[in-house]
Amino acid sequence: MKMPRRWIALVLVLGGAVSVWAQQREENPYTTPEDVAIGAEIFQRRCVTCHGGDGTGGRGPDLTRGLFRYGSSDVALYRTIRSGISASGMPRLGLPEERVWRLISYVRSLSENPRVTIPGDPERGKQILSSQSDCKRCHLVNGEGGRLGPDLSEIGWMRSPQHLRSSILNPNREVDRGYRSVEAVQKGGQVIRGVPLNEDAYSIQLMDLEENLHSLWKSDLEDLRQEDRSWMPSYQGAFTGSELDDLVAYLYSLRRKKDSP
Amino acid sequence: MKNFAFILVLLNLAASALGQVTYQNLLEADREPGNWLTYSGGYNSQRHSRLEQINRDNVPELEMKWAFQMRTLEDVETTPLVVDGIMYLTEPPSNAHAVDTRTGRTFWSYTRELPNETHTCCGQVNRGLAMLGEKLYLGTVDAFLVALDAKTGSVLWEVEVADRLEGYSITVAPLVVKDKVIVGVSGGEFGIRGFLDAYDAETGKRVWRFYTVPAPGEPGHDSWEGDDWKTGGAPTWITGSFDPALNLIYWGTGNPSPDFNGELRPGDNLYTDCVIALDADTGQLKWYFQFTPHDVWDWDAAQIPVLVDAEFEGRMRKLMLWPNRNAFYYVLDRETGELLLVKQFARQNWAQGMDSRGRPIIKLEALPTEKGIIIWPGIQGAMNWFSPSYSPLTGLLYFPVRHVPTFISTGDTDYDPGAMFLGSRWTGMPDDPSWASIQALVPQTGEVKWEYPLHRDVWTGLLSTAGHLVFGGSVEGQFFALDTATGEELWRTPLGGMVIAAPVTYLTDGKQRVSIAAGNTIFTFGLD
Repeated sequence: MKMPRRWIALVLVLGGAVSVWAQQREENPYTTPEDVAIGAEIFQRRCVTCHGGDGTGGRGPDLTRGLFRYGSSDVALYRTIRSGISASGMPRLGLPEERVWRLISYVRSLSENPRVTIPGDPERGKQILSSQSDCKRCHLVNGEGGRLGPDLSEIGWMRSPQHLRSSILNPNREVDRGYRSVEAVQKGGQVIRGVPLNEDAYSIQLMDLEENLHSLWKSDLEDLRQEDRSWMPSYQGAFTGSELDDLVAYLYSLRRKKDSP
Repeated sequence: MKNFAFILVLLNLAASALGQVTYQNLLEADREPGNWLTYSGGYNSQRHSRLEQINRDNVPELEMKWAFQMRTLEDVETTPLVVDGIMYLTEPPSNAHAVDTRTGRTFWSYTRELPNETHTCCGQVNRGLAMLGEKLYLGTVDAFLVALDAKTGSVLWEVEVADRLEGYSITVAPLVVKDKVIVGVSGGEFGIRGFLDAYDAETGKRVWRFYTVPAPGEPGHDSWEGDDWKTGGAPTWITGSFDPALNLIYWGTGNPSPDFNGELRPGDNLYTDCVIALDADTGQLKWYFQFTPHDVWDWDAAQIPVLVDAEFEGRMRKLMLWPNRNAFYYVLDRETGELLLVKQFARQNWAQGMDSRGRPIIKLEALPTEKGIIIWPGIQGAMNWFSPSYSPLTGLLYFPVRHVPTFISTGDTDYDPGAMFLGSRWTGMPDDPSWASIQALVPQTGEVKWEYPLHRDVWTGLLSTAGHLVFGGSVEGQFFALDTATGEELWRTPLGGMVIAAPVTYLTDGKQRVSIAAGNTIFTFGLD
């Protein structure tokens, strides 16, 4: 035992948590058609930018499957919407309790008639990614691959099929901030090209195209160029239609962790 | 598009060795003082640095260079690693960050998604990472070992070490030995059966496991009765040491379960409250030494084994120095486990003394009863998990000492997987005169060379340097530098948060820095 002095605090905290939990519902009390309609209004105002107007996803995940990365139970969805998932880009919405529940009712209604179809074969897509394309030069998949592009190990939870397809064909259409191209020109003339990892008014941290990490004082730079484009080339024409379907199906299947309640 | 061919050419170049840690680096960590490569600074766990830019003459000029604040409300117990200017540190409960040591800005952060239910006795804490190649190794409170890419924080593999629902968790900083990651478990308050594991650093495949509570038919099992061994405790929650010449890993083990009611588990309860010496390749037990047989006071031997080669009674020996939670200081021969010296270093009322083999002669009135007893040292011990430091320049061992009692009474308890399994009630004694200090000890004799007084408690680790300084902190939030020879306070600064971690030192752009966690923040100091 290390620090039992904190047990007292723990008991107090747990006691507090229990009382808070008792106030929070385990199941959604707002499930009437009227509640769903109100939830739809909230969705159109707050959610469509990332999840698409019909909930089939965009830069945010497809919500029409009825499976959710951070838990599919009412309680888990409540937590996700109310508190956000800081590492994923899902913001804390800060809605009152009854509006969160109504939003959940609407989101659940989306999965009653799934609209997303995945025509490709994930197994064939896996083979394409492993042997016929150079995706892994820049992308990590389950512990193997490069670092310059996003880790794809769980991309199926995060992006819709159409977003994945679009990213392959036209990577510059929507580039996440962390994967935009950066060129840092040092006062000696040396240019470091890469992707930004962090930045403030005085310094920038980046990974260069050889996957080396750099931290640079801006006062040491002649110029710092950041463009809203990706280092990733377009793969338009690189795959047949069915190969692209297969690749998208594989990427969409990449979900390291299973759904949890 | 035309850039793409250029990119491909660059990507085919061999990776730079910068930012990587090899086994050879770990073997020679003391010759590479610009980095802090492993939890205790090196395999001998001396937590001593050869850096001397910051020294007893100029230390009053130290100034803060940057602070890195975390969001956690848990205690930050992390020892950061620093490799080629990048600091890798953990944030409770089981997150990690890569921080640039020039600016204090992050390169990446890893946030672990935890299940709702985890079992930790004393806070969802974490003490740090291990590194090999370009991989970082993180133990998590849901009892996984995770390999992270040091350049991105991406998960490369993860393996479930134990079942969290049975009360297991991981708070220890792993130790890389050769091509293996050694990791232990917490859970001594939940009736776990402890073990120490080794995993292949590349793949995460388990190579060996040593159970710290032997099963029927194994040596040591006769120190248990019935099925008590199945819930016997002996967690392994503090990073051990390694002697490459002997190929032995040394690791301290924790308390027996249930903690306080010894009637529920008669016997010596091996290998609880021990140091175990394991073959690094096979995990086989070479020897053990039990500090507190049949412990009923929760005195985990969760201390850092400090390995020193020094003259003892006229001949050079491979020593292991061990100020224990039970208020006695031990010197062992680390080749054989032979006891060379045992001497009291803090107030205690439980042992009349030690027999010739170091077995305590226990006072019957010190055994917890239903009515209750006052025990010195208290259940947190005279030492605990915090790191000592040994300076080869002074030949002194430095460690924090707690003189803090506890009132304990026994009670019945039933084992329920994942539930606390203690067998007692206890309370601190706020009106009792508690005090704490930093001690400097002559390792071969246990003679106290100097003592730096603190207030009522201490939880800091220590760092000694070739600048003749000992760095440490107080629970009230002061960070201080003492003279290694005299204990004189040469510098201190208030950080405003409890110091419950150990300092590290390293070079940034060739300049010495010292970093320490206080509260939820890492503070970094330097001269210029």
